[in-house]
Amino acid sequence: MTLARIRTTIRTAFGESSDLTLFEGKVGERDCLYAAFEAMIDKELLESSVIRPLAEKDVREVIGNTYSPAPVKTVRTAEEAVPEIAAGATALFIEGDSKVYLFSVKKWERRSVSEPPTSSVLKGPREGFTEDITVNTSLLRRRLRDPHLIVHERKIGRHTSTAVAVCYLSDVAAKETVDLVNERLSNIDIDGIIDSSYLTKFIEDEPTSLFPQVGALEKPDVVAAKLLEGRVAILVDGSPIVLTVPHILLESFQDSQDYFKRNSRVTVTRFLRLFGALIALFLPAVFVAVQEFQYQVLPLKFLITILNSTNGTPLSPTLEMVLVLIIFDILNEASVRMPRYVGMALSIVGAIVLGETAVSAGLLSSPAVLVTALSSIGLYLVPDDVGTYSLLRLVFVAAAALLGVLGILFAATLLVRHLVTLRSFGSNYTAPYAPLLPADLKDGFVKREITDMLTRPESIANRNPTRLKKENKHD
Amino acid sequence: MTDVQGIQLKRDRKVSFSQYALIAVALFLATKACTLPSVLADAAGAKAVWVVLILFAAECVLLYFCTKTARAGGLFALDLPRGARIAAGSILLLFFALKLAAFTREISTYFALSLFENVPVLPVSVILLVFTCLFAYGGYASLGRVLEIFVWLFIFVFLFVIIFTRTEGDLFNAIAIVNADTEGMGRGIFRALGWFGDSAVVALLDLSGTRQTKEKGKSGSERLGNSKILAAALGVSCLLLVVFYAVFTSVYGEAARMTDYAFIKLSAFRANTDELGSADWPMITLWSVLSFVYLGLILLAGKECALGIFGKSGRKAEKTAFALLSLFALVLSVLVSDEAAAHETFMTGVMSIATIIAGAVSALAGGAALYKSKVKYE
Repeated sequence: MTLARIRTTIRTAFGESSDLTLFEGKVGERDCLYAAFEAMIDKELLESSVIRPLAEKDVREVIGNTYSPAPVKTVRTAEEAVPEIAAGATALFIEGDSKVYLFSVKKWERRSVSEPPTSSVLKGPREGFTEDITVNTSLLRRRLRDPHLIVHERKIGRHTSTAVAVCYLSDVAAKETVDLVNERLSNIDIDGIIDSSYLTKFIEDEPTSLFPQVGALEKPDVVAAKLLEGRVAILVDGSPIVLTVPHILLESFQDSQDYFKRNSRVTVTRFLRLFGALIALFLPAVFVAVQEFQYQVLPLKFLITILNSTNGTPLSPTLEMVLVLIIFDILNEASVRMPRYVGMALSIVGAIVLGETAVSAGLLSSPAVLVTALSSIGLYLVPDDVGTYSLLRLVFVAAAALLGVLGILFAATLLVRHLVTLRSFGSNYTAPYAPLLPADLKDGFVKREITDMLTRPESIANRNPTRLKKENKHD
Repeated sequence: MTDVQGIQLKRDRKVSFSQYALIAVALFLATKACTLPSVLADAAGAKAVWVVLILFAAECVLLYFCTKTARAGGLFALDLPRGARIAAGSILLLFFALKLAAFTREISTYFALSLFENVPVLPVSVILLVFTCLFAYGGYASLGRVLEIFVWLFIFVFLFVIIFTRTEGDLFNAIAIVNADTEGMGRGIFRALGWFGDSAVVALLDLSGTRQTKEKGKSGSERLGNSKILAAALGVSCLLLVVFYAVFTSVYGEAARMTDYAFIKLSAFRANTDELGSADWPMITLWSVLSFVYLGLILLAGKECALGIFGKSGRKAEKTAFALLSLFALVLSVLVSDEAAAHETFMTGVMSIATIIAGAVSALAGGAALYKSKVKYE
């Protein structure tokens, strides 16, 4: 095929895209054609490592160089080269040569490694993942300098060809878990993967559940710790969120900083998180049930206070509570979407102006606003599941409005039944409490010393249960 | 492979040993704590504790035989003539249907009276049955897991009650417990039989896999597959029941027979009402969850009998069985609730006879399983 024909083929393949660069050069005495997207390549590197050496030397000499700043691979036709050019490679077509040479001199703007906004810490590592999969892999490799750290990359997405890497410790992670991850990823046939969150719905055991069965993490130190427990990580190019499986409910109540603090303090904190989640879920519903049906639950003095505060409000307790909860969710959504400084102002307007004014005007009662505020603070003690708990508390309010305490009990029992039947890649979602795994309780709500954790969690399938040699344990 | 990976939550009859132990305890405790005391107080007075202990011992024997059946894979997996299996299954199906009707009515009445201030029982029964169907649809294993979570709630509430409760019981009332006079005990035992015999549910479980797992000698949580766990669990349930009846007797004394339900007077577990509200509410929460699990287990057992008799399986058959059993329970509970006398006869006469027959059938099936396993071993 002549260079003119190749030029036409490439131009046509990319639909006459204006950012495609085609330029001619020389390889020894022969004419050649380069094709690349200018914005995706390092022009200086291309000039110094490819164009200039090729003009002076034979092509076999250049590509035979085992250490080259511009790695090269070959394909047979221009059509085969097209997806590689789209991925950032520079293609070289030489007059009279049947092969196409693809040089990797990619370069595009990258965000530097910084502290992730959703996982900032007071103490502990501050590095966060970036959008670049190679950077993310290197962040993991720096922490796990072990030949058993396996990274298997694949492409997913017919249009995006997104690089997705499955990462695990081959001597720790259970083969069944790794195989299951690979199998579920292989079954994905979609036009494009823009973020790692796209994958979750394809690989979760129960995609319709409100509860996430795949962990989403932004910090390499946390992912490294998860890999050491036998989990599998999934890195997606273009996403700073790394997925980990299996994921169990208890992980929502754990934090990376827990491992850098005193155990007694961590135990109290974890119970506070649990208590916060329970307040978030049940307090609005109990408030409605108590007002609508079971007022005798409250001590007399407290009941009188509540009655005095709610006296004169035009809405029923249920409607009032639903209204306040929905207003809170609207404010929450608005403050997330607004620019940061406007968002802060909006929070103040929502919290002080709206709440205070509504109570003063007699539209809402102050206990309803207080209950919503307490419940909402509780929500943020489990930051990864705010959406889930926010929706569930509305369901509980509805149950309380229909059947009072009995409705709450029905809803709570069904919720527990749902949770205990959930599974994530072979692990039970409510482990180590149901089923009871005594060995795993050491890192449950009551946290023990790291020297007590002799084995890896039983709740996560693994090949090698030994974590700490017994001689390292303090007596 | 641990229990976590080994036991899938399929909608079948297979449960782990720890779940089985919890199911057995739930069956022992659920109905005895709330609805039985007044019946016993009426017949046996302060000696209700002894009646409960005697029946508890009989229940333990029944549980032993039913566990043998479960070890062999359950009633319908026993190596018996098909006719014998169907006959046993039919008797147990009727027993579970009667139990479902009786205790749906009892539990609904309790909710209607104490939580809603005398709303009609029928709508509460309908809602309770619909909920029970949804709840039980997950199978035995999911109910077992719910109980595993429930244990933590139980510990929390128990500590809460211990810390904040002051009982108003008079220990002199409880002295009558040790009275050697046996008058009324026989009558009390017969009248209370309808509240027992729940262990027959266990005969429908499949514990064969758990046994094999144990035999492999694997470590970790599978070590829980030990009968000592069950013995400890049953011991704790017995102790809890005795304490409950002792407190009940010491609080109510001779007036015990006048209380329809143990919790309803909000007296047995009175807390500091000025600061915290009544501690009865956590207890009611606890008991309500236990009663949901109880009804779920009875419904599941009834469904297993129905499917076993007709040789059916699959989701559609399960749903049909659930619907028919619930409908039967609802109709029967309405019929026996019409008059106080009819209800009395049903609970303390019909249910007692049904319990004797079902208990005998379950024990025979367990005996057959035991005999077959010994022959096989030899």
